[in-house]
Amino acid sequence: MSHDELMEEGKRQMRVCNACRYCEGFCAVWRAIEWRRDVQDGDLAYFANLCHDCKECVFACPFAPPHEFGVNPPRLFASLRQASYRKYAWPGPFARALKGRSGYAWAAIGSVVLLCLISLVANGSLFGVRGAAFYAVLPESVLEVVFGMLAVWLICGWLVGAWRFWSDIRAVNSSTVQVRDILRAARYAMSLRYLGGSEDEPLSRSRKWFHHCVVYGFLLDFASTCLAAYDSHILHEEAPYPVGSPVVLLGIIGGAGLLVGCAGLLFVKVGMNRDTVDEGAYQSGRAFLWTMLLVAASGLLLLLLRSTTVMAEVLVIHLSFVAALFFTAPYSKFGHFVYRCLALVRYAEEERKHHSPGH
Amino acid sequence: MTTSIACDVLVVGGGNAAMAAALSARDHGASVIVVERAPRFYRGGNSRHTRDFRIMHTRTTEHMLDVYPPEEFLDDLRRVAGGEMDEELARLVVERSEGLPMWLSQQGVRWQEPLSGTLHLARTNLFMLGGGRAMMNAYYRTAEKKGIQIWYEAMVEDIEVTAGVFGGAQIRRGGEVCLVRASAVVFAAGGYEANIDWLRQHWGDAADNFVIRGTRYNQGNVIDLLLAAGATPIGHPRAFHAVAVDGRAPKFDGGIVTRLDSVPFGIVINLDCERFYDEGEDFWPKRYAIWGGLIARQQEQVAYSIIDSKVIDKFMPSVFPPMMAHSIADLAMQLGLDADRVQATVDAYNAAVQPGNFRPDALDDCHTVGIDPPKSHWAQRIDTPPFYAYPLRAGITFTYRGVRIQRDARVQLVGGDAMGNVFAAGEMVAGNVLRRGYLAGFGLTMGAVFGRIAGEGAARVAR
Repeated sequence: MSHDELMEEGKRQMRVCNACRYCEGFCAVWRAIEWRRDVQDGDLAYFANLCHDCKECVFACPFAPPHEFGVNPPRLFASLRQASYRKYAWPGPFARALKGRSGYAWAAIGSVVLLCLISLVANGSLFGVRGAAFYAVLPESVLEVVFGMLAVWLICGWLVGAWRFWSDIRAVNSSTVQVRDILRAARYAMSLRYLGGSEDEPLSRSRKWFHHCVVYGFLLDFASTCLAAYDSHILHEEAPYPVGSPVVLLGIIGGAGLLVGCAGLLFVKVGMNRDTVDEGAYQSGRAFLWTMLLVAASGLLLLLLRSTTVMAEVLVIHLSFVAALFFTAPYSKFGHFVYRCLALVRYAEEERKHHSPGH
Repeated sequence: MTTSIACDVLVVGGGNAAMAAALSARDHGASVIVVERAPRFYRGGNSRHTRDFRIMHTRTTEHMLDVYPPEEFLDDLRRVAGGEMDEELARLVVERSEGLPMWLSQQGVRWQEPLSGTLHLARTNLFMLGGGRAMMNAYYRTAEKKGIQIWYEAMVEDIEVTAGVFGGAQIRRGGEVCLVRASAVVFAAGGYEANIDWLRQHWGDAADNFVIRGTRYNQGNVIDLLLAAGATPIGHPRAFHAVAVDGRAPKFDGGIVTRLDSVPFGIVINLDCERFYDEGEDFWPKRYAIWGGLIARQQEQVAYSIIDSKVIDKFMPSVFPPMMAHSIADLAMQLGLDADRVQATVDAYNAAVQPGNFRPDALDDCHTVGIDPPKSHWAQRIDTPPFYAYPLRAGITFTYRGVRIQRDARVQLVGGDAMGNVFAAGEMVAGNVLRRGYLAGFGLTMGAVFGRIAGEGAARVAR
């Protein structure tokens, strides 16, 4: 389906939904739809990213396929989310090449080659240094430059995407966002308020908890990395750190969270009703989960094997997985949180407006 | 060879009343088979298009605001039925309605929070979270968990009734026919509104132009079998409840999204380009309930609602976009009507509109003088382009024809005796309580109340 056809189809389905409104008790999306009589392209992007894909609506819908009205919001919104990642991601031309499994695989292979070259140049031989510290394999300064550039790349990608998306979902009657809107949106996001799940699909209700494992696992790992940077540059303590240190403990707990969360979400995906998913979104979601799973698994493996003779190989593989995750981040499912959080901020603003006296 | 299967209670039908009966019978110890004519997706008959129960309550509850005392509920029923109501049965349903929210919650049905919602009925009506199909999913999930057998795409072809006692039913399931022997049976298989041949017997060729808002599986064959077995009929065979729907609606299963409430904000004309009824007579729900019948009596059972841009956002949007034009003549052409005659009707109406204070939420003073039919409220000139039009048809919601039951939901024989082990509930007995009229949410309430009574009674007989 072309972009224009998708938009037309979206508007058609929304007309059915707006004439029905039986779903209004389910989630934010339905109230956002009710607040608009005419749906524009930007509104569709807003609804799609506000949707957390819990699927309650499609199992409750008397007009879902095989009904001739063919209303299938989870699939529609998943397609629209894919379209919005393509449309808003920056730099745009990479979007097609870097999405999905193959994009990540090529990025990972490229990273392995790059890091091997760095190691070769730095040490004169590949993985020559056995049982030594991490920075003997890959010099710290080089790593900082490489990962610093990757961080700038992904943050810029997300920021530009965020700006483009935010400009698109601004409605004619949108008011200024207030601090309390952002706080409310943050609460919705951190608690995954709208990822309820449906009783009509096996394990659907567990998605919220697995997702919490992924998010908070990732944040713990991020905290571990920041702490390691602090130890290294401020306290001048060189990695690797002992197992009992806060850096390693945070890393272990975060890594375990990622492992459990990603594996759980992958398992739930197997049982999903494929009629309610967009195949492209399904595959890109799976690719992202595998990516995260590989990062977490290789990180924990590195910890386990860091004083053995294969440390250098495992280190290069782990860092390559991380590098590929960052490099594809503006285009992969990774960026979904950017759009979803912005949609929640817009929603919190609209909710405040519509619930205030005079409305 | 025909296979033969036995169970305690056979339930024929798969909607709200049938599942209430099945679960109630199961909870009273019976083994239960449910025979649903539709495939899995369309299970639940018209219940899948419903949204709310009307519930009596004498205090504010978790789900409902304020109070809705039994006498007020009964008064509301008397008003819509215009006297054609069975007081005793109505009172029974009203009294039993109070216990439904709790019982339905136990079956897994979830409710919408009272303050949200587009309908301001939080005091009298309880809305299912996600509507009727979500409710039916909960019913079926619980039924499967409790070991009730569900047969989809299964149809009762014949029943064995000897001297008023049910012995078994012949059921076609896929390519096979099997005989189900049961100690008791509950029939809750809906009305016959989807049976166009039957409608044609009473309405002639007009039947071909009706839209059936609900399931295509309400064919009425079960009503026929019961009447043939000696049950007392109830309800006029010509009687149905119909509303104005968008003329572009599909023949079946258009549900809620095809209804149109633009009528009071403009004029409605027929194929002769003439107005035919006071568009501003009354509020929803009275207005809602009469326009279906009015359109059913017009030539080709079609009418056209014409409004201007002043009022386009005053009613719920329809699933189909309106036709739009910058002149009445253009609009008439799009509708395939004679432009001069439509213009003349609009001009005559505009000339008759009196100045007033337009208030969509009240019976305001905007009315016409000197035309027939008049428009009593919300009469504003149709003068602000662009102009909009919706084609209208009669959308049948349900029929009243069915079988007579007694207080305990047993089917009554022509002689006046009750059939010992035959119960009925749902739309096919709705005519027992109200022989005309409609009150929002009352259909589901009646279905669940009599469904529960029937299920419990059937389980007792089976024991």
